[in-house]
Amino acid sequence: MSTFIDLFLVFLKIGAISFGGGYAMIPFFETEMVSHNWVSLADYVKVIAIAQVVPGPFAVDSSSYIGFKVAGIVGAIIATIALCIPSFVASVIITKFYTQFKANKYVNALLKGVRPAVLGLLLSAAYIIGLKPLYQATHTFMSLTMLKAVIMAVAGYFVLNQKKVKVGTFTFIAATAVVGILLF
Amino acid sequence: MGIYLEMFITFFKIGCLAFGGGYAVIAILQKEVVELKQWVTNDELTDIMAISQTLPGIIFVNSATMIGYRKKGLLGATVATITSCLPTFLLILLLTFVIWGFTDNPIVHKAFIGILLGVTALILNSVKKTWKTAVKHYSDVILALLSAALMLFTNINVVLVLLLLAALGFAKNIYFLKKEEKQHVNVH
Repeated sequence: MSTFIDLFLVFLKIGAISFGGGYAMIPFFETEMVSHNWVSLADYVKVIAIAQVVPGPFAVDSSSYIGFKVAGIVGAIIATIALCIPSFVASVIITKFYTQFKANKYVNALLKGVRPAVLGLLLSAAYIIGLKPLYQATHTFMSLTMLKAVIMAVAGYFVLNQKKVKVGTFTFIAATAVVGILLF
Repeated sequence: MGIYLEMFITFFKIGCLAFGGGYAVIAILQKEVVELKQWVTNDELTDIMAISQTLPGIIFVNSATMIGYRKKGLLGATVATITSCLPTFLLILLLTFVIWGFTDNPIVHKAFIGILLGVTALILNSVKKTWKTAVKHYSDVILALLSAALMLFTNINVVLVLLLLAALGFAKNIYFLKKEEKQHVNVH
C-alpha cells in the first residue's frame, strides 16, 4: 500500500511543479526514480528511446513505465493519473477564471519569471539523456565515445536547424538509429 | 451518452496521432476538434494552446482538459484527459514488453545510443525555441545561466533549484514592474 501512496505523491509532485512541460520534465523523473531506487537511468533512457515511436506526451510514457516497474499495472495507472491531476485541475480553474488570471500582474510575473529556469532544466535534460548514460557506463568524459556523442548531438541540432531539406521527426529518429549503429 | 462516446473516440484518435508534440499536435487538434467536430473555434484553440504552455504540467493534457471542459464541463474534461492519454499508456507498456528482450543485442544497443543523441539534438532545439520566449532582458540571461549551472554542476535537488529560480524570477519581474509604475507616475 505504501508503494502506491509513494508513487501517487511523487508523480503528483512532478505534475505540479514541471513548468515548461515536455523535455523539461526529464530532470524531475530522473531525480525521483534514482532517489527512490525505482528504475536505473540506463533502463529509463531505453524507454525514452522507445517513446520516440509512441504517440502522445512522453511524460505519460515515463509515468506508465516507472509505475509499471514499481508496482505493476496498478502502479502504472496510479502514477499516470497522479501525474495528470495537477494539469487537469489547473486547466479547469484557468478556463473558469481566464480573464482575471490574464490581467493579474503577480500571476504574470511568476509565469514569466519561471521561464529562464526552464532553460536550465532543458540543458540538464540534454545531459541526462545524451551524455550521462555513457558516463555511467565508462566513468570518464575523456573518451572517443564521448567525443563522438557530443559531435553527433551537435550535428543533429544543425540538421534540425538547416532550411534546405525538411526533416520530419520520424525520418530524423530513424536516421539517428542508423548513425548510432555505424558510429558506436 | 452519445456526446461522451464521440469525445472518447475523437480524443483516443488524437492520442494515437499526437506524434512530435508542440506544433504537430496543434495541427491535429485543428483538424479534429475545430474543423471536424467544431467543439471550439480556431481562435479559442490558439488561446488554449498559449495557456497550455504557461501552466505547469503536461502541455498535451492541459489542452485536452480545456477543450473537454469547454464542450461538456468536468465530465467532458475527464473523458478528454483519460482517453487522450490512453493510447500512449497502452502502447508504451506493450512496446517496452516486446522490445525489452532485444535491447541487450549490441546492434540494438548502438541504435538506441544514436536515437538518444537524436533526442538530445531535439532537446537542444527546444532550448533555442525556449530561449526566444524566456529571455527578454539581460537579467533573464543571468537567471538562465544560474539555473543551468546549479542543475548541471551541483547536487542540489532539482525541485529546490526550480523553486529558487522561480522566486528570483518573480521578485525580479515585480521589481521592474514597480519601477516602471513609479516612472509612469513621475511622467504624469
